[in-house]
Parts: sequence; structure tokens; C-alpha cells
Amino acid sequence: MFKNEVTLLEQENKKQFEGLREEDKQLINDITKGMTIFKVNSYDAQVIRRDLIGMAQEQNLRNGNLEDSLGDDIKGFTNELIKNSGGPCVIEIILKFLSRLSGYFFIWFLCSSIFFFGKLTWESTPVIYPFYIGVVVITFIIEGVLTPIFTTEKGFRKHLQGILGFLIFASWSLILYLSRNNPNEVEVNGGIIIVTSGLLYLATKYLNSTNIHRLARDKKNYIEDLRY
Amino acid sequence: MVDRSQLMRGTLEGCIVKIISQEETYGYEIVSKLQDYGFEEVKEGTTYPILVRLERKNTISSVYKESPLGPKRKYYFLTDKGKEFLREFELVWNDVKNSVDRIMRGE
Repeated sequence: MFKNEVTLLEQENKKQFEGLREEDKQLINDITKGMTIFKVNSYDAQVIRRDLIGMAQEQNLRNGNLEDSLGDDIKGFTNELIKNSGGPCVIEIILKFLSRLSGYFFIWFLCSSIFFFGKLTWESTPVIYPFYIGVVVITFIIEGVLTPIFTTEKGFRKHLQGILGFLIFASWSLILYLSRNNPNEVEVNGGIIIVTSGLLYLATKYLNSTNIHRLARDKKNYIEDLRY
Repeated sequence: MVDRSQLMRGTLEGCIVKIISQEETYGYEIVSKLQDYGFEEVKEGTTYPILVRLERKNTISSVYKESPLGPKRKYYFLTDKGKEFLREFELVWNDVKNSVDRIMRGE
């Protein structure tokens, strides 16, 4: 139900990736991290990843490495790739966000009801809702916006994404911590949230798969070609 | 100093399409051929984004095929749109080349 061209390409890429040299693996990961769904749709990104793996394999046969093929300017190469690819898909970005949000809510509230409260309803400060939503938005922004900026950098600049991400997360936590003294606790109906978020998660996963079929429809589907 | 890479940038797309029009070929071979023709500084890092663009514009298409050396390779071939593109490129290139030649000769 949730299998699509991207998941199949991911499986194939994972298999091919294993045989590569460590430095090539690192380079491919750096480049593909720069191509988030905000810049390149996930089908095109997996096709590009497959091509990079192919380039590394070709170089390995000649005792070279991927950097010999690509040159020193990895950031420039990644930007050129992004510029020339099919670009992002807005529907995919929305579905991925909703999927992440519903998935996190499902796990948080399920864990809370089982491990912390032992029941499906409990009293809590209303701050938890903006906090959870904020955490999802922050992780989404870090992965989608900050990571591509710094992933192909070298030295200290490469670690700036982690530092900035931590600062954003810490600021968000602090703001909500300072505003926690709300005397009006509300009843949290964990059961309803768990069921709703679970259903929303499944729906967004299904819709995302349908969207991937659409993205891959008019393009060459490499899955059959790649099977050995 | 003349910036050779800047001068080359606009013409590389046409050269790649011409090489692909001669026979189905793969990324590494395209680079080797370009280097043999004198584009010695060209690497796959230069040609691959162009191949991605050409494929997106449906000028070329590709298929994975067995390789005698190991893993399957992505072979590129020209589409009908690509043949049209190549005809146009040859016309435009000849025009530009003639104009530059005339200027350089001081005619």
C-alpha cells in the first residue's frame, strides 16, 4: 500500500551503497543531504543518488574515488544539480510535514498514556500543544533549510547546522518554559489524539505514495532496469 | 586572462548532445570523449548537471544496461526532441563561429 518508486529506489540504492568506499559514501551523503524536499522532489533525489553511486562505482573500477569525478567544488556541484533538477513538489512538502506531525503526536501521546499516566485522559498545561507542534516545525526546518546550507561545507562551518539547530530548539523550549505557569490546566483526551493522529499518519503516507507515482509517471522508471 | 571555462560553458551542452547522438553512451565515456577532443578540464562534476538538465527537458533519455566491468551503467540516448535540438545547435553554432571568425580576421 505504501510501496512506491522512491521506496524501491531507496532499497536498491542502499544495496549498491554498501559496496562503496567510506570516503565516497560520505561524499554522496553530503550531496544528497543538500537536496532536501524543499529543493528537489524525493523521486528525482533518489535517481540522482543512484547516479552518484554509479559514478563512484565507475571510479572504483579505475582505482579512483568520487571526488576525482566531481572535482573539489562539491557545494557548487550540488547547487548546479539542484538548479537543473525537477525542483521541489509543494504537495510532497505538505504531506511530509503532516505525516511527521501526526507521527510524532501518535508516538508522544501513546507513550504518555501508557508509560506516564497509565490512562487515556489526563490533566496538563495547554502549553504542550504549541510545544509539540513547535518541535515538529523546528526539526522540519532544520532538516529542510539549515542542513542543505551547511552539509557540503568543510571544517567548523559544517557543524553550524547542529549549533544553530540546538539554539533554535533551546530558545523554543525556554519561551514555553517561561510561559508554563498557566493555572488553567486542561483535560487532554489522549485516546482521541492517538486515534486521529494515527489515522492522519496512514492517510498522509498513502497520499504521499500516490503523489510519488504521479511524480515518477512521466519519467523513466529505473526499478526494472536496475534489478539484477 | 581569457576565462576558458566560461567560454566553454555555453557550448558544452551541444557537444554532449552530439556525442550522445553518435551512439548510446554513459557518463564516464562522455567525459573521456570530451577530454580527447581537447576539453581536458571537464569532469563528471561538470557534465552530470548538464545531463540532468537535458534529461529533464526530454532532449535525452536513459536506460540502465549491463556493463562488462561490473555494476549496471546508465546509458544515455537521444530523443526526437534531442535530434531537433542538435540540428538547431549546429545552425546557431555555425552562425556564432562565422561571426567570431570574421571579427578576429578583421573583415
